[in-house]
Amino acid sequence: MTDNTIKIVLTDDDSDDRFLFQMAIDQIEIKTNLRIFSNGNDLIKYLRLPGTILPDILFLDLNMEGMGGLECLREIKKDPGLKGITVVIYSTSSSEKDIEQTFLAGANIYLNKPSNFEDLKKGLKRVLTTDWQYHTSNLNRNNFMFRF
Amino acid sequence: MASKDKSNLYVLGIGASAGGLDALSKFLGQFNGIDFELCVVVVMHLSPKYKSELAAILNKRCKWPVITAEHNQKLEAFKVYVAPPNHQIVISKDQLILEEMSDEYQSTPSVDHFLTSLAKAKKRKAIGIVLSGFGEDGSKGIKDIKRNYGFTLAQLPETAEYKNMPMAAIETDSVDAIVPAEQMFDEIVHFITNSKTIASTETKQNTIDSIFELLEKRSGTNFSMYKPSTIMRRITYRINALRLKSITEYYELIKENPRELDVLFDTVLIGVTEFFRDQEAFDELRKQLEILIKEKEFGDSLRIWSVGCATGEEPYSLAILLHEILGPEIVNYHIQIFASDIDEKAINYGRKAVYHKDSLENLPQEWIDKYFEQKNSIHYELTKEIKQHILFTRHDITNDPPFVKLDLIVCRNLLIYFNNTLQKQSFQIFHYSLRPKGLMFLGKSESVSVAANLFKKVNKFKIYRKADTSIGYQLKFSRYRNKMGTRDEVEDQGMKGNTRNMSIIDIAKETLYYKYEHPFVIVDEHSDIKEVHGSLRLYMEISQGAINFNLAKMVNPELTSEVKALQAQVRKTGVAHTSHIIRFKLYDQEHFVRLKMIPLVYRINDSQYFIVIFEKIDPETRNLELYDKLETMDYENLRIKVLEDELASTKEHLQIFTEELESTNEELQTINEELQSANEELKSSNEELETSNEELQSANEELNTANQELRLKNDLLIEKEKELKEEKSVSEKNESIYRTIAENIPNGTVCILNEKLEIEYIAGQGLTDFKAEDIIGKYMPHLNPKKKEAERLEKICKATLQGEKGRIEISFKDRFYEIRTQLFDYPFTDGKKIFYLTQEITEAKRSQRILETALEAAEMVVFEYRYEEDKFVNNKRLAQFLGYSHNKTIKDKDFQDRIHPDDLEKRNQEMKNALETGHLNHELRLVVDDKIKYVRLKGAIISDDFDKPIICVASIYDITKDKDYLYRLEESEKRFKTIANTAPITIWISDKNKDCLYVNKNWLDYTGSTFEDNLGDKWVQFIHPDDRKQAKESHDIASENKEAYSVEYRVRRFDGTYKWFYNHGVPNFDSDGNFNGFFGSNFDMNDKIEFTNKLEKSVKERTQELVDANETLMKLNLNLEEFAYMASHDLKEPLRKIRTFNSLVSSNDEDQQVISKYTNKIEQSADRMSRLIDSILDYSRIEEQLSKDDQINLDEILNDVIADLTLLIEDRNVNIIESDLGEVHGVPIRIYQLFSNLIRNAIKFNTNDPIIEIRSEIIDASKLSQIILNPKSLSYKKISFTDNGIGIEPDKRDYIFKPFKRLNPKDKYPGTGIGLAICKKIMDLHNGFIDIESNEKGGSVFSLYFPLS
Repeated sequence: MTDNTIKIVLTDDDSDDRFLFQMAIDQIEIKTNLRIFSNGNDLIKYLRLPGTILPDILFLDLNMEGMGGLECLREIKKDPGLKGITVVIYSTSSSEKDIEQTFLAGANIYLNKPSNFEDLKKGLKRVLTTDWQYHTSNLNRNNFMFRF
Repeated sequence: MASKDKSNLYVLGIGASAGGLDALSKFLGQFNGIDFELCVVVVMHLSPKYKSELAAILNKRCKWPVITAEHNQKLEAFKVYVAPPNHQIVISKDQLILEEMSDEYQSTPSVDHFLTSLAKAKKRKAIGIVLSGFGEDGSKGIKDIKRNYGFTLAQLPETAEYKNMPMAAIETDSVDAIVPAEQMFDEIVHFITNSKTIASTETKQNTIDSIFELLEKRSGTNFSMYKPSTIMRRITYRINALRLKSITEYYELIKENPRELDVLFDTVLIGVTEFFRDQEAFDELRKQLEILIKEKEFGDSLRIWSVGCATGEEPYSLAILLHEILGPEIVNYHIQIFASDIDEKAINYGRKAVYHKDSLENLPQEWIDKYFEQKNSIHYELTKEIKQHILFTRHDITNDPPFVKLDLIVCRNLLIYFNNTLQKQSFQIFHYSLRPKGLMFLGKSESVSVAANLFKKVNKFKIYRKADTSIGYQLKFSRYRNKMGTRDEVEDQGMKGNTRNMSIIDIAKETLYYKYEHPFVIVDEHSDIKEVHGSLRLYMEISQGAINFNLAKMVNPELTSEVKALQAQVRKTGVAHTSHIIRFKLYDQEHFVRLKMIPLVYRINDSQYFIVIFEKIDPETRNLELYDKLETMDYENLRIKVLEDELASTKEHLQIFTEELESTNEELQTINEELQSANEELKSSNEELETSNEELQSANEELNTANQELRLKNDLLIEKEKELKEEKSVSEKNESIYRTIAENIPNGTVCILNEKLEIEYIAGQGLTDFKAEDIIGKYMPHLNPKKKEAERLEKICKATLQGEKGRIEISFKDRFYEIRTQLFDYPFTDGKKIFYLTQEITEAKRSQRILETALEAAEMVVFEYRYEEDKFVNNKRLAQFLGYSHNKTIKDKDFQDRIHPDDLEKRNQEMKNALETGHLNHELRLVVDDKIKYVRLKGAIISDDFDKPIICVASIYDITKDKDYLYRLEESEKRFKTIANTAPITIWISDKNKDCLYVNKNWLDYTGSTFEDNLGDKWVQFIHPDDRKQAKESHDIASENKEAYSVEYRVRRFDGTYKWFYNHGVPNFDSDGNFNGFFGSNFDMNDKIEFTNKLEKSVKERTQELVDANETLMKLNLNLEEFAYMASHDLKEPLRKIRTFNSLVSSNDEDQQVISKYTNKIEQSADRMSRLIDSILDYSRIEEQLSKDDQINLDEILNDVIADLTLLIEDRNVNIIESDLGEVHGVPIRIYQLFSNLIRNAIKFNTNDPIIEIRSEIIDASKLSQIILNPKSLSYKKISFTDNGIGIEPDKRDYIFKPFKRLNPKDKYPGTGIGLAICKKIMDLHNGFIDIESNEKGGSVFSLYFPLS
């Protein structure tokens, strides 16, 4: 079925960030279906539920109490059923260590949380419009990091 | 070829240089009026720098006008032209051509230049004069003028200021008159006048003939065949030269003066020749020769004839050409070049083969170098290789038989001087001489037209090849020919077409001849028909066989006998004869003829010719009838008929015989001809032999000279022999002397060994073991029974053969010999010999041995030093001792080299003393092989009467060892003293009698005593009275026991105070093991101990400090990293939010509510940031040191905390259960902070009404091993905070103490996450620990551990 709606899932423990993300997604003229979790555990539980339609893109915050973003990522990539999901690491941190770790763990894209709302919209739009099939195949360290 | 000059102007060219002006003036001064056209051109060597006034000067002296020549000036008679300086001048067509000369060409001979052009231009009307001057300028020009038949003069050298130029001109042999300058004008006038006269005078044929006759008589050569004009020119020339007026006069002169004939002969002979004349033609010749040679095989001969070779340039050119063609292969062919000429002088010149370098002008330098040797500056001689091929001989082509079987004949520019007849004859001769296909090489302007049938033209360069025609000519060589015949022929030839001179008689004769009714032939002596007149058809037929013009053969058979008979008759008698009528039948018709044979009145070329007339007879009918009638007559007539028949047959027989005779005759003729040709060949061979003979003669002469030399040598040899004999006798005498000497050599032998070391000769008084005869030839070393000695002998002999002088001592049986060997060359034989001399030295050896043994035993080295020779007498031991090789000759310097540098001065002083006293006695250090030797020298110096030292004899005794010992001992003592006195302890020594022998400085300083105060027993006084007994006793006992001992006692210091000393003694044993007393030491215990303690303590402290510092640093590092990371991260977040919301605000013009929502968010984030920063600051501030004296009351602090949190406690309904906490060391503020944080946390992380229990207890460190890794104290006070909150997972225990780390999302439980980190830090500060345990009822228990004491 040619459903052009992109299914997005966001996992972030910060309410403000969730708020901003939602608003940004709403303002983008792409048909999306957004689901939000506030911690990693809930996310994994949800993904593993039978009958769950897997999202197209998963946005993961790194710095979360309990199951951190990296841990979630690893879980997802471990699971054969889940590892096909496009994972976008959505984080404040811009430390090399985090980027490298997430890259090696299998994240598709690393998106730095911008300090400007318009930038946030732009970034999200770009992520959504990228043809992931194509992009994934060429994935390397250089185009892993999304920059504006 | 210059054109014939038609002008009548005679031109005189004068050349002069230094000194010429005077001569010129004299010459020109004579000039006068003359009746022929003459002008003068003066060429002087003028300096280009000076403006020449020559013309003006001469003009004054001369009657004729003298002007300076101008370019293109037309020459006019009776004028004198002077060539200007800086110009070359030539003449052409009576015009002067001037060329400017550059300075470089100053040396160009300008006179030659002009005179040469003059010769060419004016030929016979050219006159050349050479006057005084340097150099040779003009000589060449003179030659050219002469060559062109001009007239030449040269100034008489004796009258010339500078002889060189005139003499050079004279040397060319081309000067007609050598006269002083004043006479020259007359000579010229004379010459010109004569020439004119002679030219105009009719040459009387007779006179010329006579002259020819004379010439011929004198020289044997017939010049009549030469072209008359040629000869005439020559004669005219001679006449002029002799200043005669007519040919008649000349003839008279010749008659009286036969020598003139020679001169004329020489003049007539045309001797112009040069090397490779006409280069192009020679190149062609070369090609032809190459072809010719190709057909030759090795060993074949190549014969060439150079006809008219004159001075030989031509044949030599041919030889050179052949060498060039063949190169080294020329030796494979037999080359013969015959060079002939009628001029004997020229032939001789040619034979010499020496030419002026001018004649070599045409030759390339390469050839000159190859084929010529330079004899002197101007002459070159052909090499022997060239000369050997050529045979020069005098030969007259007109008379002498030629060379035969030639491959090539070269006859150039000779035949042109011959008339046609001679030319033809010559060609015939050449044709005969050449081999089939032989070549003939003529001159440029010659041709074979007169004998065209004999030669085929090869190319346009006058090379012809012999044609294959049969010989149709006769060769006749007669020496003396009647020239009259020649004259007649000339006359005959002249007459034929010349009707003007004919008389009536002549015409009548002609008429008769031509109109004679009967046919006739003209035959020669052999009856060969030469001419035919009229129709002879009736009488002649062409017979079968080879064409033959013999009359007898050609006539009808009936006529033959008659003809022959007629011939015979006429020849015999010399008069005409007529035959009777002959009857013959032809074509069935009868004819009658009568023959008449008449000899010609004149002979032609000495040959007699005859006319044979055939008269036709028409018999009268009467006669005929008569004849017929006669035939039918009666018997008488029959008889007549028979007789007639007989006669007829007899005639036939006669005919046959005649024919036989004729054929025999013919054979004879052929034979005769053959003989003749054979004869001719012989003649020519003879010619060759003559030439060879001449060659042999010259070879013979050479042999003679060689023979002479050999004779001389032989004489020398004989002398030498005599000398040798004398020498021999002398040497024999010497030999006997030497022999006597050799045989009487005392005490030894002399011997000569050959290279194989065999004895060739031996003699001497020492030859006692063998007889000389027995051992000669034996191998010398083997005569010595001892193998080793034999080997040594061999070695030395072999070394001697290499040139070394040998000298060894060997033993033989029980004796000793000194052997000396030397190499020498035995005279008159090859091979080296060894001179071998032995001397018995047994006694001497023995003495030497004794001495050596003694010296060795005494370990002494004895030497003898000779002052004059500056050497130590060969002394192996000395050399060894001094560390030199035992072959070395030791000089004083060598000895000094071994002396220790520090001792040199001393030694020199000692030697000086020794010289004065005559006695030598001193010690010295020597350095041998880097080791020091101490030696003592003892000896004496022997001087002469003038106190000059001659010999020094001394012994060297090695005292190194002794010195060593002494030294070591001294050193040892010194060392000990030093140690003893510098050690920080007291040292004492006692002997075996328990007496103190020594105390060191230390003791003396401490006690303030002297050395003597301590000796023996006296040392005891310094010990503390209470300790004395023990001190002494312990020593004595130990002494008895010979053991080490130690004791402590107090020793009185110099100021009266006592200090404890520790004494230790060690027994001393000597090398034999005998007890010798004690070595002991005391040392002050006090200071040491204190010192040590102090040291230890401070070290400990230091170490601890370092450890602590290190730990702190490490912790700091670790924390800092983490801290920085977390700080940055946690701070960034609220900042980002602020910005984001702000951006929303700024971009969003939505309603106030939304905006205020955003701004709230901003405020919240900002607030969070601020709190974070505060916590960080708090955290980082916890640094101060814990000071020792802060003992704090925990209860008090807790109360403070609770009080401050009242609001919160009430709000959350908190229940706090307290107990006594006690005191700990700590910082009050930090404890406050700590308690505050923990309580806040307990309240915060609680969903219920919080209940917090706070207890205290003391726990032993050992029990806390799991929690506390490095217990800093033995016991700890534990303060525990128990709550009923949400609890903490066990694995997160360590995690939560890290700064910024939170377990719960911040919206649920807001906080910075630093709180517990701060608690931990505070505990660290107090050297304590914080830990969490889980509560069974849920919630957490936070425990604080404070170290006690």
